[in-house]
Amino acid sequence: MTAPASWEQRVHRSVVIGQFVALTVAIISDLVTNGPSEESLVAAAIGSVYAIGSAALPEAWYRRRLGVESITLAGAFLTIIAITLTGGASSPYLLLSMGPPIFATVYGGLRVGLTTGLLSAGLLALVTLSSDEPILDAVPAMALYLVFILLVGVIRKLLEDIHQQNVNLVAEKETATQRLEALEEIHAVLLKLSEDVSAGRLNAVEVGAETLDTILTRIPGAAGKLAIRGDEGLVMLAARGVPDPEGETYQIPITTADSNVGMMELVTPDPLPDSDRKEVEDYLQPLGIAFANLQLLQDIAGSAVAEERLRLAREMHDEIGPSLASLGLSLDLTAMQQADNPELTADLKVLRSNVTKLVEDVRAKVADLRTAPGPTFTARLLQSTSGMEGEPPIVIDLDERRPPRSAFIGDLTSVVTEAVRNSHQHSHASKVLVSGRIQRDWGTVQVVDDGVGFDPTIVPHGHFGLLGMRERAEKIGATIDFNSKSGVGTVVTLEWGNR
Amino acid sequence: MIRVMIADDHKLFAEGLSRALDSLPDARVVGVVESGPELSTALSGQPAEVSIVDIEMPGGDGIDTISELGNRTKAIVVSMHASDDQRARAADAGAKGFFSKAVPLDTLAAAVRAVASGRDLIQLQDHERDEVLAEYSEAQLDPGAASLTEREKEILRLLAVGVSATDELADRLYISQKTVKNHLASIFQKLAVSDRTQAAIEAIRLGIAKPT
Repeated sequence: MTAPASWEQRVHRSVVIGQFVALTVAIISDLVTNGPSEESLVAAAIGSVYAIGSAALPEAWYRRRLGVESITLAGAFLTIIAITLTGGASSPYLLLSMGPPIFATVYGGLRVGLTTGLLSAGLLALVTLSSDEPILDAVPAMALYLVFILLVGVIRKLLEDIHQQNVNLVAEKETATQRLEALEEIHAVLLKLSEDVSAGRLNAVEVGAETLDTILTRIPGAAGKLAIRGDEGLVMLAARGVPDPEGETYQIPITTADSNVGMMELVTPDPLPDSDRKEVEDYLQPLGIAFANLQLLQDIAGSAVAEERLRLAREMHDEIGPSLASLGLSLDLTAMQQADNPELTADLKVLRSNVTKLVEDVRAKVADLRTAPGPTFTARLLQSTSGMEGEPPIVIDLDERRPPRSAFIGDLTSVVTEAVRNSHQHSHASKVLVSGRIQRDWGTVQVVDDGVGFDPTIVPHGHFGLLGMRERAEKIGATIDFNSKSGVGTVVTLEWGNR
Repeated sequence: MIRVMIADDHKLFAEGLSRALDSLPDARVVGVVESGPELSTALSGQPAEVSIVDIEMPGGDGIDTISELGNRTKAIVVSMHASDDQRARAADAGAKGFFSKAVPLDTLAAAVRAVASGRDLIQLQDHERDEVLAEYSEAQLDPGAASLTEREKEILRLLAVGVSATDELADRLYISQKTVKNHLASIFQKLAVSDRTQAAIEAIRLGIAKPT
């Protein structure tokens, strides 16, 4: 129900005051013209009952259809009685009898107003006819009813329009405010991204996860995945929540003005209204710009790194390696010429074997430098865990500043994937969280679940992978720690290198 | 005597390799060049039984050069790029050996001898190759050098330490000057040299004598 318009209250007050003025004028004028007769007193009493009554009744009654009709009908009868008692068509109470039709028009509109007005006019005609006065005497009064009603009706319509426009304006203002707030939030995200870029903290996984989190908090019950377009198709950056199997799936492209840089898949329990979808797109827009910039940055950084790698490889291959090899040959030659000095020859042989190792090391490094770097650990893990569907959901939240070395990354992925698989299959947890920080030669990765747990000293059924995980971790020089309590959950921590 | 040509653009390595191979009694480095085309030109003027060739050089790939050279020389690749792919390429081009630059001198020396005497090492498995190389671990001296008598070697050792006058040699060895002259003539013939200085140098190179 809409709040009472202020114009209704003002008109109501004006009509009430007008009625009192009309009543006072009518009583005085009647007393002056006809003197204090019984009829005059009764008419004054009836007029007062109407005027006071209509003023005293709460406004809420008028606003009900039945209320306004009853009040105005009673008013019409009362005022007509007063008119009948004080001279019919020439009665001073005629003005007071305008009150009910005006009230009817204000609260019920033109139709109700006209009904009341016609009733008053009809009653006046009857009174005039029954008192044997010419009907023409009543016509000006009857016309006056209609004029008043039309006037008030038109004004009412105008005021109502204005009121409606006002209501619309308020609603529009509210929508605009909400939109503005959403835009401000997007602006804040953009600002943070730009800060991250200047601070060199920009990381696709981090930015993607953050945006996905922001979007999902605004859509209750939704699940989503976010992917960036890489050289070899889409690379998943983040996945959150468990998709409702009966939910609606939306695939929203992440675009910039001239290219498609990624995709977001959103599964919502209920169909998404257009406004919400628009909002999601608004959120994704800065992400698109960020991704495009990131790709650009990565391209630049990538080619810079590639160039640097090649330069290093060239230098090692062209300068360091052959110089060391030449040193090795000189040592061989000296050893050969000093064959009769066994002590020296033994020393030279040790030296020579060190030099040989160095040359082989240089050769391996050159080969390593000449191969382009592969996908990140996060990308590999997302790939290797993508087949583990259903409960519990797997949340990967890694801060990978620089991917681990290529000689290392494969085993690392296998160990962590095994830990995730164990938690996913056996823990009955509500979710499995993979978190951690990776900075090439050092890092820490934790696989945490809040499931049933197990005793790491007793290898339970289905956990045969533990030994293999330990062996693999040892092979790459990492330490692995299993911390589990029955009924509390499991934390597997993998660490390597020194920070 | 095996004549060896070296093609490697890394000067330090080429010099080291040249010095090392030259020190072998049965090999002599006849040229050091820095590119494939230079190797081809050098071989036209100075034949060499064996060429040590690097892969990455200015003016073209060493393996391509080997394939162009054909039978003009027996090539051994010594490179930083000792990958299986490159080995296969080198084998296709006709190279007879393939080593990383970390190769020790005795291995390379044996390889030079084996390749010079017609063996193909490149197609062999590592253990097979090591067996072949073991056969060639000792220097194979020229018939001339091998036929030097003990007295002739004694004279060469004295020449190497600077005793070169006929009378001095005769005094040291308690023999006549005439006999010294006869021995020297025999030495010059066996070592294919024409004077005492060259004979001394050759003696040092062959490991018969040591310089002071």
